[in-house]
Amino acid sequence: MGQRVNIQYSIDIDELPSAVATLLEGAITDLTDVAHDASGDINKITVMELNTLQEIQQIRTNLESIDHRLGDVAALVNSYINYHTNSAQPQEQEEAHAPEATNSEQLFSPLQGQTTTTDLDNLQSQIERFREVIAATPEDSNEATS
Amino acid sequence: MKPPVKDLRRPYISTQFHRELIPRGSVVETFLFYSGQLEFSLTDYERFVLAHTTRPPLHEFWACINDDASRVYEILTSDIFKFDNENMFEILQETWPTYPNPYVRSALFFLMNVCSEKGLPSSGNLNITNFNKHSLNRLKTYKKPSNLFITLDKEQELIDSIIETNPTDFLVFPLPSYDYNLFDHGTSVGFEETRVNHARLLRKLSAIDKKWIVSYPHHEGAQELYKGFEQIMIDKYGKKTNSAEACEELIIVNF
Repeated sequence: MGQRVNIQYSIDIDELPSAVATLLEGAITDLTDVAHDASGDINKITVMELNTLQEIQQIRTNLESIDHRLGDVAALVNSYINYHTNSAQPQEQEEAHAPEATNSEQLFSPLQGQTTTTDLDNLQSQIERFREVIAATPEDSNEATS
Repeated sequence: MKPPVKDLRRPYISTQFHRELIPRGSVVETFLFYSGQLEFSLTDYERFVLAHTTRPPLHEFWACINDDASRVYEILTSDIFKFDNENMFEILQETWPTYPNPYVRSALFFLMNVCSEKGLPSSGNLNITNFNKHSLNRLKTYKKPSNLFITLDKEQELIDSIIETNPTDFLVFPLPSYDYNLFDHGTSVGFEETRVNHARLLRKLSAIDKKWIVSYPHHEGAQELYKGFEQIMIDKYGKKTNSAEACEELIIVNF
């Protein structure tokens, strides 16, 4: 397969579903063609020849190309979902949140945050506040039956 | 308050009994934090809970809903988040952690949890009946208890999360199941699960000078392993029983 390049152009957000549907249809049509071309009779006598390797290589190359296009479609759908789920939030609230992860290495990084010294200081003060509140309030006698 | 997600791997019928063992006002560390069923029953009744997990996807889910549960709710109820078939469920079981947005991942975690017969996002058969107004409402109305602190430990081994010098009164281990750890190297666990070596946990606990409570779904192997410690069998009504047949949960304590 030849070298792949990324190209970039902009369209209206409302046109995105239609553009993505076209891309997906194209990939599925090509997939059907590959399956159709590959579904001819397989000759048990000639199958163990060099020609077979060439045919298999051609099928795999075509599948790789289709896989790339399906990957592009999946990325577009993911971005669209992201856009919608983010745009539901007010801007200032959005800015307060950590930035999103963009690749698998960053997964779980924005909010996972190993517990830090500041967190532990917070924990200590929360525990102290909790003990003060408990000391100042009488015990709920109904607890055991709830 | 009931937590918005469930753990169906084990019963949580001994929660009241845990409260009898842990006095009001105590500071408790719990390990293998997952659905919060035990932890919330403690925070509701004035115990402070420091809950440990070693699983980033779990910590992220709780961080997201503690931060903004309504945002996760909005995602789950939006038009683009339709979910209605078994094939999609199986694909999502393998791919949900790869979605780039943490709030979308958290929405998927919730969805997969309530729809999985095991209550695990990464495994179990589909049971979509639990994804309903009731479960969504629990998420929508969720508010983090002020006396709950959830921490992510970088350690992969449960026992490495146990720090004896932490200023807490009790260590509590609600274990999802007991096994003999014979096939640990040949089996995989989901993104949200932690493998536990039960014998190593016992060795660690035996060396600790602190009050601890371990609980398991009833299993003879666990009873045998913790021979010599105080063992309490709990029946399906959450009461003590002397009958192994009636036992649903086994509680082991060192005090």
